[in-house]
Amino acid sequence: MKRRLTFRSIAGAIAFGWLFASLFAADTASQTRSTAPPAAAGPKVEKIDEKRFAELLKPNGKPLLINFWATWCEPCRQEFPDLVKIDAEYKGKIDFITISLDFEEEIATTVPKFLAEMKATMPTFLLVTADETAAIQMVSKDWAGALPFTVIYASDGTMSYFRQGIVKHDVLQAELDKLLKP
Amino acid sequence: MVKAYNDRINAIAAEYEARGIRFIGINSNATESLEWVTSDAKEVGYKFPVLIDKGNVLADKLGATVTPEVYFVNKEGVLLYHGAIDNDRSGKNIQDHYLKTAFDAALGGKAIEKTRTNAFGCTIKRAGTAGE
Repeated sequence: MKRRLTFRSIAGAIAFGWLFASLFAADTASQTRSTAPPAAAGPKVEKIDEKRFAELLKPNGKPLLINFWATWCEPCRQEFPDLVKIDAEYKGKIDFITISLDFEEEIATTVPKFLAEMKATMPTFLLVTADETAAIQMVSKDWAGALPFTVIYASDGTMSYFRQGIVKHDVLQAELDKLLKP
Repeated sequence: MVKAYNDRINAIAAEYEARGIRFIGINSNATESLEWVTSDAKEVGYKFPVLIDKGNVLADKLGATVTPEVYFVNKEGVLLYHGAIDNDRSGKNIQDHYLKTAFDAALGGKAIEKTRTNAFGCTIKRAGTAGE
């Protein structure tokens, strides 16, 4: 690898970046607990591996909207109400799923609790894989894994839109309407 | 998850600084103040300096998008490895220590096999961005 960096301040050193502060800024929903808490009321979240993940990326006759998120990601939590609105508005016209990247131990607690608070009803899966690089690349070569991430596939499987970062309700509406117009 | 990363990165920094690799932590989140980052860094007890990247200048220059995201450069400024610290964010079942493996290869004068990886993390909160 011969990509050259021109600033001298880190010559000979590690530029170690973009770090933990944002993880600290996230809510405390994913704090480790010393005892297993009772399962939260809320939608059932299905654990998936990379094989099932690959299947979920394929549309099934309708446009497919997928949102990747986690409870520890504050921007994910901020945009969620808009996603719930979209789900209600496009029910039956598109397939909409969300994929949580929370830790596996949160699958019956923090994740469904958050979904219940949001009154979310779209199917939610929790991805557990030892190779996140491969999973991320399955979705897009332009994605580094930052959450939230939203992608829309047309019914023929082509990717018609993606957004790394908070997505706006009216933007999603416009993108979905493009695919649904007769 | 936060605690798992703190302990790991402090341990890695302690081990490899002794072998000549300098560590710098950089906060590029526009939503976090200097005061907050300072008190947080003190509370966590990072074993390396933490700098604020005001206006995301460094993040933009390097194309950083996710936290955490590491860049390993040699003293000539050549990027040797970029991406995740290891393959398991939870720290409970790490099978691939990407960053340490890259360090060991570089320190041993060998080529780094995996020069680029990815991991899920929170997006860097850049100044002036909004949903599109």
